Amino acid sequence: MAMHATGSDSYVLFGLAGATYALRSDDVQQLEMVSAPTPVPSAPAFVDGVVSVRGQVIPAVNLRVRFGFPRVEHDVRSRLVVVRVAGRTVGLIVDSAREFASIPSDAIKPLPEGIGGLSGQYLRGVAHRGDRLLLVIDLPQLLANDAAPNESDNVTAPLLAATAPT
Amino acid sequence: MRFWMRGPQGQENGGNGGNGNGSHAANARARGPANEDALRAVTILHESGAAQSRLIDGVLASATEAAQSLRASTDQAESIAGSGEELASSATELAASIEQMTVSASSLATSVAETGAAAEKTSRSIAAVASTAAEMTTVATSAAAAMTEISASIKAVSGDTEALASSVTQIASSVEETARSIEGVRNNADDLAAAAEQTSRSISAMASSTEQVGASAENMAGLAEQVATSVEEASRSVDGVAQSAELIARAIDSAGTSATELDRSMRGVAALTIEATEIARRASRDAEEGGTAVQRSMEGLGRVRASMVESATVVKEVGRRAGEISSVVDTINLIAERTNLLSLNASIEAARAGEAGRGFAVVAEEIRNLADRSAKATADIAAIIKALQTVVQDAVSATVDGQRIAEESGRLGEEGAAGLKRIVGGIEQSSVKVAQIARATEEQLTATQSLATVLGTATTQARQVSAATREQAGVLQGLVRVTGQMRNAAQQVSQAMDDQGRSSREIVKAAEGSATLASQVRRAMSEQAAAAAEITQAVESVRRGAASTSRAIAEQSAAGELVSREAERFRRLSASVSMAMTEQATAVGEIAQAAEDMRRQSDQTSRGLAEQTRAALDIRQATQNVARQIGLTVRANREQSENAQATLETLAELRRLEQRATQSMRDAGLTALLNDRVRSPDFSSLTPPGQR
Amino acid sequence: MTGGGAFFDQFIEDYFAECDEHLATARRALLALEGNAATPPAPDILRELFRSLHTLKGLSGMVGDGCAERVAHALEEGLRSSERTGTPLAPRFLDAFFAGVELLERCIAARRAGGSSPDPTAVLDRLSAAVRRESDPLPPDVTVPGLAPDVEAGTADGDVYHFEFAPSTDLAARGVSVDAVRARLRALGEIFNARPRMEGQRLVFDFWVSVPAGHAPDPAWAADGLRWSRAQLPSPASPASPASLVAEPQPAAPGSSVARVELSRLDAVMRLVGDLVVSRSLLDSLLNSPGDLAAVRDALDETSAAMERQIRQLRESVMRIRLVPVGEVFERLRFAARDAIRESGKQVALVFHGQNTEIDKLVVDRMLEPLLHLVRNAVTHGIERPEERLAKGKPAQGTLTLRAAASGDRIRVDVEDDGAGIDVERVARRARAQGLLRPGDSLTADELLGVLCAPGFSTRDEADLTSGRGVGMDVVAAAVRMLAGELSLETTPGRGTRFVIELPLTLMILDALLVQVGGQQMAVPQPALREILQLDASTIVSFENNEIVSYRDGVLPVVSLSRFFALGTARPASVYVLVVGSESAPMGLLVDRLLGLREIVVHPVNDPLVAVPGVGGATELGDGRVSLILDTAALLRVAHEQRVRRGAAVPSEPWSAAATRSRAISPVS
Repeated sequence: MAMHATGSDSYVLFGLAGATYALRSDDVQQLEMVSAPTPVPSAPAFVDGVVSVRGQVIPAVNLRVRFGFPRVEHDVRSRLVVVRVAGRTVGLIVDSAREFASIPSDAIKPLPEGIGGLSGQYLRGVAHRGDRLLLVIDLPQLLANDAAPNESDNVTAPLLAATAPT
Repeated sequence: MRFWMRGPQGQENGGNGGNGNGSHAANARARGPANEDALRAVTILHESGAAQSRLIDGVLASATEAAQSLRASTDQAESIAGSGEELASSATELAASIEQMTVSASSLATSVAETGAAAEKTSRSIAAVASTAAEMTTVATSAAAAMTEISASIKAVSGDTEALASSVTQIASSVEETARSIEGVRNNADDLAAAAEQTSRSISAMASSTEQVGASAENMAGLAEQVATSVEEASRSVDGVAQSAELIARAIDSAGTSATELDRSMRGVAALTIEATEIARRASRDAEEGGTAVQRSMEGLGRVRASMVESATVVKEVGRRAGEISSVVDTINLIAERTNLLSLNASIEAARAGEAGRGFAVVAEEIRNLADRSAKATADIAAIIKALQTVVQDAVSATVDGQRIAEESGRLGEEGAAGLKRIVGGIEQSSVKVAQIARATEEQLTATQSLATVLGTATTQARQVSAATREQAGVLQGLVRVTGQMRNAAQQVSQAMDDQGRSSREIVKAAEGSATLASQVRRAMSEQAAAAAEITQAVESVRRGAASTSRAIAEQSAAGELVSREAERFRRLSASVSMAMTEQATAVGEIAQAAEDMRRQSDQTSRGLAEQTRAALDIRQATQNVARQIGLTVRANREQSENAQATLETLAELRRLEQRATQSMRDAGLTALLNDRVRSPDFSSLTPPGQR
Repeated sequence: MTGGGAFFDQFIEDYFAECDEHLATARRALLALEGNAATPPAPDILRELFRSLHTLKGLSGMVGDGCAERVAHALEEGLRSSERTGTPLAPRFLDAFFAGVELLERCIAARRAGGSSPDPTAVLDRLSAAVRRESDPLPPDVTVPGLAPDVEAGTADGDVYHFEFAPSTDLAARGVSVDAVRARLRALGEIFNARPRMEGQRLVFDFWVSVPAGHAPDPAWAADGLRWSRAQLPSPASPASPASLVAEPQPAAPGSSVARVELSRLDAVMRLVGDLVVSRSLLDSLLNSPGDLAAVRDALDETSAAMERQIRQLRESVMRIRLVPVGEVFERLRFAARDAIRESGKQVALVFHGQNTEIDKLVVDRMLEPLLHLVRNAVTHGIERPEERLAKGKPAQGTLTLRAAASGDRIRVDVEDDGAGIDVERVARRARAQGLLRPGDSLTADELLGVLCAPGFSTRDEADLTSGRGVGMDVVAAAVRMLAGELSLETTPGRGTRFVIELPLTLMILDALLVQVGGQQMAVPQPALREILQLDASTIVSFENNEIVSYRDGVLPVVSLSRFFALGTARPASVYVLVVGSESAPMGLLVDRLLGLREIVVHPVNDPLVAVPGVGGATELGDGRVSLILDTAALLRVAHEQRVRRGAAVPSEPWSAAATRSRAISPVS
């Protein structure tokens, strides 16, 4: 784990469907622009296909679809976040990823009550940064769930509703 | 840091200690207690040194990556600078082309003004032509009226002279026949006279069968009565003939009058046609002048259109440049996004490097900020460009409109010119027709003149006939007297007969001879009657001749109709010319209007272009700002790069020193550690010096 | 060095490479020792073995692999004591050593895969026992689940003490050096583990000492800076069962990503790179030449052709760097087979041919497990017991031959035994029992291999110790498939069995036919193609849920790839059929268009999200887009299964009892 001011880690912030999420930068191998993935037949619906990154062919997961949001066309701001966890390298397609922030560990609060569904599984908690709300992703859980995909439900909507988004 | 080195033969050299271990070990052992101190210190030093060494290596690696990333971002910034400069130069080009367009617009305005003036002139000349054409129309109308009058009078003449020319010929021939028959009668009458002399002698010689002679004489008297009656009838018919001949002569007179009148009218028509020709020629000249003016205005329009096309091209060029700039802006935007991406990746790597990457993370943050600012600046530029493109679009459509109008004007002008040509052509045709009319009327004149001559001849001949018949009447009167005498004589005879009887056979013979003569007279009288009938027929013929004269005149009348129709057509033609002229005037008015529009449009374009110039200057300013900023960034990057490079070199130096220190320490320290584990001489042979 | 472990993460790859080497050396040495077990061990072999183990211990210590370190240390100690005695090595000792080296291997592999280290206790017990037997005449060891490494008696005899000693100048001045402490501890008991570590800025030595009952540390030692306590071993122990003397097979190691390279090959690459640099600068000067570029067109063409040639040579050179002799694999197989042979009690001789055949390192790494499995199978099931063999008139010793040969761009590896051959009826019975075959159906030749490779299939009546949990041939088939290779089988009852594995010489680049399927581009490996046909779509006949076309003298079942991959059901009027499969059981794959032949670079596609059947990898087509590579073997298998399920008639040869050639997938040769 990268060493910063004690008790805080650095995160990569990405935007998806109006909400801001945070990923530990240690888990992120790199960011890339989004190019058209090659579809893989019989893959789950949220897997847009495979892309080539640093000579490695990895799956490209459309997080929008995965989290139950409607699909949008990618533009010059879309990003492919290449994450590496437990020997797996996977790409996540998000709306934008432009920020890099340090979040103190104690700033991450557990999820509010009443948020069920997948969010309980892939979010570690929420953090406030100024007047922004950051949803902190638990990557191993997210990818572990991906390994055995079930139907996704729109989970951040109740979360956002419960936590008064900025 | 390599702990295990590979030589070509695959030997294991272990650490950086190499071959100095054995001697060091021996020395270490020999030193005794001091060895322990040294050993401990060395061990501690070694460990911390190793730790530092590893630390430094970490830093080195991070710094190398930092330098690389810096270089990458420097490259990025330089490319942004390059794009910024491109943008500036494109903006400059844009300004230049806008200036060029402004110039074109000014010249356009000038051309438009010129065109307006030319159009005015054209309008005026066309108006002149129009008025001339109106004049022509009036003249033509009056010519047509004259033609109509001519036609009417010709018809009148036709009515009067129905029984003319061939009838006269017929009369002449009939009269000749009459004369011949009368001659015959006269001859017969001479014979009769001779016979009567004979008779008288006979009678005188006779004395006996006076009653027979008296009867015969009675018969003869009766016959003579009949003859007298017939002669009276003949005389009456001759009178009638004479009267008719008088009538004819009078008719011919009046015909002659009419013909003179006709002649006069014809001359009038001829004069009119000459006038018309003159007018037509004048109109043709005017039309040609008008055509020249139209030609000139069309040339002017052509120039206007060319200038419009040029403007359109320039404006399109401006639009294309704006599009180029837009795509350059897109490129810059993309570069800004990529820079943001790179800086984010750099931050990620810096975070992974931990403490050593701190400084580098700051740099990455700076770069990210710069990229975001750049993105914002390009967004502003993009907005300016969009506004510029709208203006250019308007200018383009304005010039397109102008072009269209110029083309339309050109087309109208061409139509006008064509119309004028048609007019000129029409006028020429009219001139030709008028010439034809003049020729026809000349011919008419000649014809009527000959007609008058003929009529004169006919009158003379009719008079002669009248005189001849009067003579005949006199002769016949003489005859009547003679026969009267004859009657008397016969009565005397008859009285005488009473007395005579012996010459009755001679009388009878004479009477037979008289009878023969009488039959001959009768024959002659019937011949006369026939001749009179013939005369009547001749009169009929005269009437028929007059009819054919009338037909000839009708033909003349028809010719006059033709002329009248031609005149009508001419009138209509000149009316249409007048209309065309009016249209021309209207079209020219439109041209003037269009020129006015164009002038206004070009003003707009000029204004728009001035705006564009201003906008271009703004862009240039903005891009210069961006370029300056980018220059600053590049310089800052380069400084950072140099700093990083210096740091790298310092680190490398440190590392080298470190390695050397570590090496020596390892020599001392680890060998000592190793020696701790050495148990027996046997095993020391298993671990020869220098081996690990 | 707990906290320092992180610093070495980046050197882990080096560590693994080193370990591989030293393990190979150790294995070689052990085998040599075993081969000459009758005589006293040769000192140079011992030395080599010791050196390898010692280095392995040091390496493991540096990277914090405690398990491997312990095992290596134990082996080293064991070796030392045997060296001391100077007598020929006992079989039991050698066995224990083999087990120890294997355990060491597994520890390192576990570390590499990120999994948990295996429990070394049992092996270490065995090793200690064997060593002790060598050095001291102690009662025969009883293998007992023990908490501590003292295994002489059935009871916990004595304690394990954990000593800590921090050397200092004062102590050293008094003569209390690490050496002295060590001597004391040795006098007290058996030091079975010792290592230094950093405690803050201080260096501390840990010793774990097994102290026999009745002995205890001298309290006076405390004044000498020695601390001690009774302690558990660093790693918790768990009961070990006799059956897991050889532990469960580890998950297939991903293979080292570091290779040893002969410098001459590197030099060749460097030379070619130099040539390319020259070509490139020539290109540069041509492009900057004054005047019209058309004038230098010819020169540009030449330079381009030269660069193409040089790039091809460069690529071949780099590929050559990846090549290793297949003999390395064979040696490791010999090592592994030894256990199986021992366990089975059979007599088997291992014969190798073609060890110098070079294959891609990746292929080597991936083929180890499958070949191992085949070897174990042959030993366990193929070769009969000596008595049986003699009864059949065969020599008592069976022969297991591993043969490698290269032809063109393919490698052929044979695993052949002269055993009893496969009992087809038994397989058929089992298959029916497991529902893989319909009752009443006989097992046809080409179905045999498919059935054997079906997941979970096993003809064993009890769990087979040597081959583990009874996982069957499906592992082998899967590994071969993933390497774009082909597996085939020939068996003759009573005479033996031969498995033939054909592999591409270089995994990374292969010749492929690019095709278009349902609007998507795909690549079909050319070696899998037998023939290409062009047909009117109207000639395809539907028959019992299949589609077939007329082919040669018979029919060819065809599968529409666009339907198989759910890419759409539209079909152009004219289609292309790629004939794959074997001569006796060919199959046609329907594609929309042919796009041309191309050499493609293969990227593995391993993530579970996109590992769908029928996709054997991906390649980049030069425009940055990724194109999927077809796995024809999988397609054949799936289609075959579908046919079997649907019960449609399958064109195939009937089974005959005589010598048969059963080939599931035959190569294009």
